[in-house]
Amino acid sequence: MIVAAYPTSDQITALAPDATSLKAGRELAAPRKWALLGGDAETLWGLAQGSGKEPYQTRVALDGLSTKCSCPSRKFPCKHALGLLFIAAATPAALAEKNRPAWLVEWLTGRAERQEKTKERAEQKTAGIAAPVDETAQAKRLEKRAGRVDEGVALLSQWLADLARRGIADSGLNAHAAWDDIIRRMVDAQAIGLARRLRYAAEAARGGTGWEERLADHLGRLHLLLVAYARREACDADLRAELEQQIGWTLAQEQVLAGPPVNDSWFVAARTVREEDRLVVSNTWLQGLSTGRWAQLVRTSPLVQPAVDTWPPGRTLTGELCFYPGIEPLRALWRGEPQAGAADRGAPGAESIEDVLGRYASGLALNPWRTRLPALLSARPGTLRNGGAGLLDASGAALPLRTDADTRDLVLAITGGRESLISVLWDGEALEPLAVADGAEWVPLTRQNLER
Amino acid sequence: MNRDPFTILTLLGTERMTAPPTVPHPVLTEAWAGLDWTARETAALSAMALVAAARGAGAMGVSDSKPEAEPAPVEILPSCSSGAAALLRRMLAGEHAIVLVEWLALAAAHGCRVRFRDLPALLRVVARDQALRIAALPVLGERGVWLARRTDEWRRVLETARVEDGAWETGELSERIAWLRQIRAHDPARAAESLAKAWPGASGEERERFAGVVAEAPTPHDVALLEGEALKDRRREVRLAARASLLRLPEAKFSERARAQVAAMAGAEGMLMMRRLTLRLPETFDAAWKANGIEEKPPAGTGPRAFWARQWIASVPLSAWTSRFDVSAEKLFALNRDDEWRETILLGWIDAAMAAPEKGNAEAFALHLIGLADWPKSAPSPAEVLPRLLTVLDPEACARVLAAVPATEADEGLYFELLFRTGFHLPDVAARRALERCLAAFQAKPYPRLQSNHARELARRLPLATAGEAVRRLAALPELSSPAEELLRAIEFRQQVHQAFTVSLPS
Repeated sequence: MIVAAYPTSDQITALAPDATSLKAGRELAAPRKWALLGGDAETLWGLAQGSGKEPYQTRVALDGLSTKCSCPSRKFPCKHALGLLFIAAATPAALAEKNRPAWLVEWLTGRAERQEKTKERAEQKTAGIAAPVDETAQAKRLEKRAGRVDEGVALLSQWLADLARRGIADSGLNAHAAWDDIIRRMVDAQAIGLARRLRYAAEAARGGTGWEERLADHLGRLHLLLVAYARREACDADLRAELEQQIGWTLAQEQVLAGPPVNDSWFVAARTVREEDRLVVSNTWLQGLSTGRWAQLVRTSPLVQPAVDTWPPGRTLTGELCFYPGIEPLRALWRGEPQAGAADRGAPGAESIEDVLGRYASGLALNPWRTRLPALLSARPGTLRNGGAGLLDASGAALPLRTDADTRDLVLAITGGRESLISVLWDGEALEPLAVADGAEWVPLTRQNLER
Repeated sequence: MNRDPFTILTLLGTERMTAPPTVPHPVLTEAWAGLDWTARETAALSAMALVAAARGAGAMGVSDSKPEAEPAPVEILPSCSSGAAALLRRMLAGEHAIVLVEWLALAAAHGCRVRFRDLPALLRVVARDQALRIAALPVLGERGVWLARRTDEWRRVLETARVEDGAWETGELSERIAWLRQIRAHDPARAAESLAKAWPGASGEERERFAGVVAEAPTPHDVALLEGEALKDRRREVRLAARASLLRLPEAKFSERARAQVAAMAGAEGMLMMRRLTLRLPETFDAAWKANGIEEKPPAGTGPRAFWARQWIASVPLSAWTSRFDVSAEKLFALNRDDEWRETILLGWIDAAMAAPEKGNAEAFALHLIGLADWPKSAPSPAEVLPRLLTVLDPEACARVLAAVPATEADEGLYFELLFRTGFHLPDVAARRALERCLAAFQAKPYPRLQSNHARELARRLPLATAGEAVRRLAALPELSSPAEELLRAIEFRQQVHQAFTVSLPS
């Protein structure tokens, strides 16, 4: 990624692994805390006075915003790197030194070499020249795992049938205990996808009005998945891949990257960061400016060392995406580093509510397990017949908005009650607003960092 | 609630099923016919899958929803720079919140507005604080005013905004308050007339807020309402506001009565050096006093007669005493000695000054109070009284009062309270002195005597011209205690805020 200018404060905020680092980084954004500050068009560097005897050597490469610091912190980027970036954003004049020190040059050279090697290795891997794999052992491992998953699937089928027999009103399903055991067993069976679906179902069971319909929907889709998975041998490759991923089989990245890439300029429509199962999950939703295709980048990292994608909503990235195999897949990976446009190129065209509903319905026909759809709406906030909050498009059609009061206030403040571009997720019941355009600037409506 | 047979089946389970459920929606008829109900559980789960898909795919837009009735008007002011907005965002999240009022003032001076995305957070923060509400109003822009109007709590921000002339009859409370202020400024007679008309129908809260507006700057037109109604209102807050207003209206009958009462109770005896004030407490409570807002029942621990006298004295401004005895304020305070009831006199004076401090004698009174050996027990604390007196003084006079607080450890608390609780900006010389005292307090061993909140307040008071020196001196300290670090950070933050509003970044 090539950034023409120094990153903005929003971008740096998005880079911070958590709120604590962000705060510490801001505090370090005072030039007096640095023994040396330097920068040019490609890199930033500084010597931060820490608690140790020697100052820490902090380096930032502006392409890709990668950082390196000699401090002992395990956070990445560390507070010193964030502080250095904040200085570049707020008081670039403070980066007075122009001669790159040796410790910076050394890092930059090493980094360039490493990048070259990674590229080579990736190419070798895709071309199949990589180290030979012990195929027998691998097949054995896979078989063992498949056996475990099959046991899990059988167990869950039985569990669902029991539930259907007893009825969902009678089973104390709003208690955590009713779900914990079966969820744990799915985790043990390495059917993570099933465990996750059960968790959503458990949430629905504890939900408010309409819980019985929502829970029945979850159970029905789960049943459909189990039935289809049992017959996967008879399905075509795409459907089979879809089913396996839905159950919880993971694909190696190189397998995904071996697929045909889609080249486009991708508009970052939304970005979310949340904690799930002691993992940090960052989602970035992209839409291709010329293909109109949607993509979802998912990045998971352990809570102790969070790593997230850092492109804030509203930016455009040019590059090749490889989509995971499956039915109308959304999930994708970058092949190579994407290039961030120097100036933002504007958002793709917006959809009407009818468009979104149509796309959702035809998507469900192909893939009944894809229940959340990203969309870019041109809409204004309003009030539904039942008094709830909603978004209305130019035709007067409206959909309910699932949001808290603070987010609703934010949407009102930014749109002023007028039609604006809003990126949303539609789940068949309500819209979840993710980001809204304030002129050329996009404002995220979801958390962009983990608060702890 | 009527439930369809299929929902009943999912709720009660197939074990209670008597017959296969009928299709819940005609669109599913064909698929429904394919379900094999001999395998009941599988059929029920498959039916759930069908319904789920149909519900998702069949979702429709709601057609008769209402958009926002009136979208926000077009914006006139330009938005502030992204750098300034980023700093504002941090303050609204709680960092260096004391600099917020300065940010708002700078934005107003540069003729720009808050960015849309920051309006809800700004309104939430400023709605709770009057000074902030006033400072925020000019930078809200059309959008902010539009947004504030939508929420009861936020509407208070608009109380100082210009409102339409019909607001008094048709507006919300906040708009009526705004109207009252607006009209009182240039047509007090009309404002008083409107207020008198509305008074009998007003709720307790409304009366309290109206009386508060009158007390901001009472005029002779208000006398009739204040004396006739507000002074004997059922709400204590209304009565106190009325008394505070009437204190500043010598032409009111109430003021005449109060002066007469005090003249009857208080006098002077002795000559020259021996001259002193005397007080004779009233023997009984006159029922007619009630109409003057005088309460009969004293709080626990106070004698009723002294309580009545104190209230009467509190109804007369200090300037009435100086002119009656034809002495300066300093001399008057000196005369209050030796009498058995001298503390009652002092308490009455304090109450009067708290209600309506007078520019002419506030400095002298503050200096007198600072010099007191014993602070009267039933008076509000010095930290409440002195800042109130400072509100009517100019910064130089404030600085003189501040300088009079002895530099002893015992009085240090009061010094910092005064420095931090009042809103004035210190003149340069006083600021340097304040910085000296604070630096010493920061470095006191074993613990710094100043806390982080004090440090932040000091950072706000320092004139920006001395900020550079403060930063240098703090950075030169051998070790930074955490309050000192706080001070340093707050000053730097202020400098950043100022920088963000200058056109180009200084190199």
